[in-house]
Amino acid sequence: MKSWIPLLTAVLCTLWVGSKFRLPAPEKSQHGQATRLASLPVVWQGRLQPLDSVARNALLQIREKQSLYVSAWKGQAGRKAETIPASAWILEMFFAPERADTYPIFRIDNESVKGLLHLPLDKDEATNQDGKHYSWNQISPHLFDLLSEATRASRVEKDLRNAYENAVIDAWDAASLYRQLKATVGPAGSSEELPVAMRNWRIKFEEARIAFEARQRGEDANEKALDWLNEQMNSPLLLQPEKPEGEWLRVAMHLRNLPESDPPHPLITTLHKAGEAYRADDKAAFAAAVDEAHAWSEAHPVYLHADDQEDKDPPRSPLAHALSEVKFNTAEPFYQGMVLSVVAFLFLIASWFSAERLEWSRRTGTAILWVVFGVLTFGICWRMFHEERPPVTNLYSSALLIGWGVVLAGLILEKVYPRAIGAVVAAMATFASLIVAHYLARSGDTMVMLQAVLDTTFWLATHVVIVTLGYAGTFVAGFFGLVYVVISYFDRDEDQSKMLGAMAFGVVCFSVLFSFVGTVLGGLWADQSWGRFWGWDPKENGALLIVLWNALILHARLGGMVKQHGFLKLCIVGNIVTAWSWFGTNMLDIGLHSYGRMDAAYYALIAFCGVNLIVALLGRRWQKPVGDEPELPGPPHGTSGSATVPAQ
Amino acid sequence: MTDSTSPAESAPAAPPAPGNPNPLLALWKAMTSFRTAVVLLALCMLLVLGGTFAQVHEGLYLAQERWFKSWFIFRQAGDPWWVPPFFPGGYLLGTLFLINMVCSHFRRFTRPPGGMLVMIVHYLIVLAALYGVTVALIMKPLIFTGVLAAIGLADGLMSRFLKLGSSRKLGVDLSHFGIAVLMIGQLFTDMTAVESNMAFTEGETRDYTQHHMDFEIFAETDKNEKNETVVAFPQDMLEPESELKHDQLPFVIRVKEWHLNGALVNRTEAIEAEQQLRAAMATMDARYADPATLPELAKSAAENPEHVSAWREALRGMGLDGTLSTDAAAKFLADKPAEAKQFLERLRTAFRERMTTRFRMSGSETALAAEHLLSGTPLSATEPPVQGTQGAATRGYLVKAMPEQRTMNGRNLSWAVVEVLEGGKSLGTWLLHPELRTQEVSTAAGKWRIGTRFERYYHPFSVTLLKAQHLKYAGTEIPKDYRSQVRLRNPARNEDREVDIYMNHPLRYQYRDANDRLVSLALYQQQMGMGGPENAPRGFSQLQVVDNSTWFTPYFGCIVVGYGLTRHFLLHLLTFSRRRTAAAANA
Repeated sequence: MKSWIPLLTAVLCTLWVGSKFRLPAPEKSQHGQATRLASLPVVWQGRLQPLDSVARNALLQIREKQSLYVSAWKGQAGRKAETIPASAWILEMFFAPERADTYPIFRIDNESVKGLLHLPLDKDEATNQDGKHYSWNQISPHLFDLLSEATRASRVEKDLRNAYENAVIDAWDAASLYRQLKATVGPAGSSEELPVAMRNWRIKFEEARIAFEARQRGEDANEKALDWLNEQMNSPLLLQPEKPEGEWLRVAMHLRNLPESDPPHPLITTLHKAGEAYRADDKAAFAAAVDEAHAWSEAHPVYLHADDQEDKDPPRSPLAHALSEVKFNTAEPFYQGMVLSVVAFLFLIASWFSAERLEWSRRTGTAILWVVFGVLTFGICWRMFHEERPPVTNLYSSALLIGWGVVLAGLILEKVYPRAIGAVVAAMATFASLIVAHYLARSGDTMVMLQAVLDTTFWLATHVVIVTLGYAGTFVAGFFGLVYVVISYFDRDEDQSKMLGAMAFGVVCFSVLFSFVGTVLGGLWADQSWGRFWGWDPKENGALLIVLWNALILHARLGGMVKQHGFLKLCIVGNIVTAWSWFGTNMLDIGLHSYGRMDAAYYALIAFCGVNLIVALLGRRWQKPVGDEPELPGPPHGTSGSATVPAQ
Repeated sequence: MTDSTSPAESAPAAPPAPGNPNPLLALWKAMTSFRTAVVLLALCMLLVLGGTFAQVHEGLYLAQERWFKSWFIFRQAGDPWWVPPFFPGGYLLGTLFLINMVCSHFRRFTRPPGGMLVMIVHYLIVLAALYGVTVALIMKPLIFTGVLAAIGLADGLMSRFLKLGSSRKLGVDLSHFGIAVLMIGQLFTDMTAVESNMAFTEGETRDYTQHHMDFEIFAETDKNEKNETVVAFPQDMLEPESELKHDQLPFVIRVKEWHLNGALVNRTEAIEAEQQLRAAMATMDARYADPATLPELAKSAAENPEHVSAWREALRGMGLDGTLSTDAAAKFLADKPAEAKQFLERLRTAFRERMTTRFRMSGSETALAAEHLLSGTPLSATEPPVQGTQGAATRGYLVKAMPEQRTMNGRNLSWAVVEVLEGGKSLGTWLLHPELRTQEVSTAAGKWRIGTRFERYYHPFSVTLLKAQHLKYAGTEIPKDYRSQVRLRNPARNEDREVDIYMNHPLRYQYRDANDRLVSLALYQQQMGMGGPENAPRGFSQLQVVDNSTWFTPYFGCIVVGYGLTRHFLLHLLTFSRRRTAAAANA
């Protein structure tokens, strides 16, 4: 009875996630053509990616969101907010910069920075001002003040900077990024005829060159021209090479070396056509220009990865590579996984109220979790094939792999003990790690290129993956502890607590193995790259703490110092130790491992540790009756160990 | 994680029974108990945590020495609030940990049902196989997993079908053994490993490496002579009043002063710099003297971010709005003469500070000049210190003592004042500093050159830097690849080959030295840049060179522990699933 519900739900969930991968249809949707143009490949921050990714990550940095309101803001009385996606925004930046400059895109919260830039502090319905977001036109008159303050702030040592100084630096970085992106298409974005636009561009470039030389000699230089040159020379590398072994070029670099009589790169001509059509709102002409750009890109395959040429891999179409990434960006599978894990959690918790009658609910929740597992597996594999890298390359991808590891562990335990406990832990822990990933993704591109020392497939694939799975295991055991304390308030079933203890014990065994081997492999990697096996650097010490903690609770359990009650509470402390190692060590900001550095999330870490500590302490007072032996040494109970601990 | 099948083994260290108050037995029990293990693990965690936090204040290097490579830690003045008055150090905890682990095995040892011999043979076979795997791992990292799996399978089959009584505990024993290997190996590395480096530009050849911190005093015969003789005295021998002698050396070097760090200054240049700075300040003072010129000054300041920030500083110092533009500030002050005067005074102070800071940062001569200008006593009016009667000291050079640098990136330049004695007769005193390179000493036995430099270690092979390659990702500053193409020559072995040394791919090289000690070197890519003469810069590369004969132990230890733990847990899992199947069948 009702046995079809779980299967049907799983199929529906899969279809739902699958449907997210469809791109908006060019002919129907308003932004369809924008997405198509934004699928063109560029090289930015050393990585081949679609313009769409450049735009999304830039918006995240400038505005903390992947989209923006162009007219009214959300919640404004009496007006409907109009949102445009990143791909539409980048088009405005290229082809209608005057309009783009009026969009409230710079998110500024610091009052002193607002003061410095003479921005309105509060929201004002009349001037359509929300008090948080400001346009380029509002900021640019005081850019010079911003620069001088940012220069001063950047000279202050990092640890000593105050909130204002950090905000000033962020604002300056955002303004620079904005200008660099606007300069991407160069004269192709101009509303003049292309030859005229190019001639004007050359005149400007010559002025800038003279200013640059004057600066080199230490003389007064035309600062405006230098600024212009700076943004031209730091924009994304837009021009795809015509030959596979050629180099990607910035528009400025291309035009600088181009004889005046020669025609420019075909993409410049095509993009100029697209721009004219865009401004004239001529949909057919725009679509034709975009098709032309796509066709050109497709017809000129390149080596996607630096070692392709050495490895004798054939050159491939960068457009296909970029399109695949646009689809992935649009679908946001990890976000969908997060949503599904909440749904699964609700089904599973419901089954706690009546295990027999609501068995279908447990099964449904578990089925949804299997879909989550599938989605995560797909997402992680896609990233691996796309980057041609092992699964974990940075903090963000470690959060993904932890999510994957905990959902798998929980589902296996659910299979062994079908009591909606392993699955609940899986749902909770996956959700938590995906949330962490979601926030980590806000700091920019999640597929950045790797520094030389990290650029090794073997060690990334072994050390990083194994140690990350060790983290995942310790978290799973910790979440079992949390569930145990919560359940113990409602249900004092001894079997239940024994079962939880057994599951947590198994998981801790797994984590001690993975965290130990992973940590030592890290040492071996350090020996390979720096000539020392162990250097007591904060990240190494953090990993060592996890190993020590897991060993400690295992020995405490085996030595009879704690029974399952104490053991599960100690597992909760494992959450704190692991969170410290994962994030806390990056906040210390010292040592060779600080490439995983991050500023925010400090309070989140404290809160997480606090909650775990409180729950671990709460569990104590209430627990005595739940079949727990006194923790002081006493006559050993010959049978108690073998019944609760698997395989003794 | 010893099997606790028998209840007595799982009991924690009980206090001695009333009838048997043997203190030795009590100690033995305490030493081998699980409780002690747990307490030691907890103490280790606190130590690791403390040592991590200490790095914020003490720096990586110092914190390492104080917390981990020590027996005890005592609270010192200046420590943060959380440092306890006393704590066991890394060596002490490690030793106790090892004792506890080893003794626990003795205490809980039971004769295996299959007999001792079978057990020993079984253990040795597995260990030997794991050793082989480790060698394979280092030779060819990617095939070793297959070999490891094959060993596991063989071990499993052997245990299953031969019914080896020893097989249940093998996993735990192995993992503890591996941990001991790791810890003891690390201790040896701490005590014996020597780090040095090899720095060269393209085309240069080195047959020595140099220490990154310690210095030596050396003397060499003139380069023109056919048989060059070099005599060096390492840092350990250098103390004030020590006399340095050697058979090959026709004179004695008496150390009069020895300092760990100092900056070389040319006094003549410093006096010139002082005059420059004084003149520049006078010009500036004159320019910012008259309040009437403020609007004009505001206009020129607006073009220069540096000036704008000085204006803001001055405005803020007077309690005014620091975000005013320079023009607005000038307008605001136009009709307030008293305030305008104060404002100019503050501006002058701000500019003076900036000028002295710039002088301080740009070189040791200008730094000395700036310091003297601030202190009020002009350099030209002071007596130069007496640091030598011969050589560089007579050409206006002097060394300013500097505090010792103890952080990872800080660099010391050790210096000395030495007297040279030939046949008991003094030839004079010399000032030695690494930046002075060598100075001539004329003796009756011929011309020698003396100096100080980083301690050198000579090797029987030489390395020539052919090419220093530094790749970045397109359009970024992110380093993609550092690679030194070198030619390695060892005439004694007729070796002459090209090697690439790059990130994660060190060059390992072994040889026997004069004392028949096996030297295991590894050369790592460390730094890269441009060097050589300014008009024709060439690629520069620095290799980190580690002499560590125990480098192999962590590799072996890791494999042994990994195998042991995997084996033990798989066994648990097997028993567990069997029991569940049995329980399901009963139900």
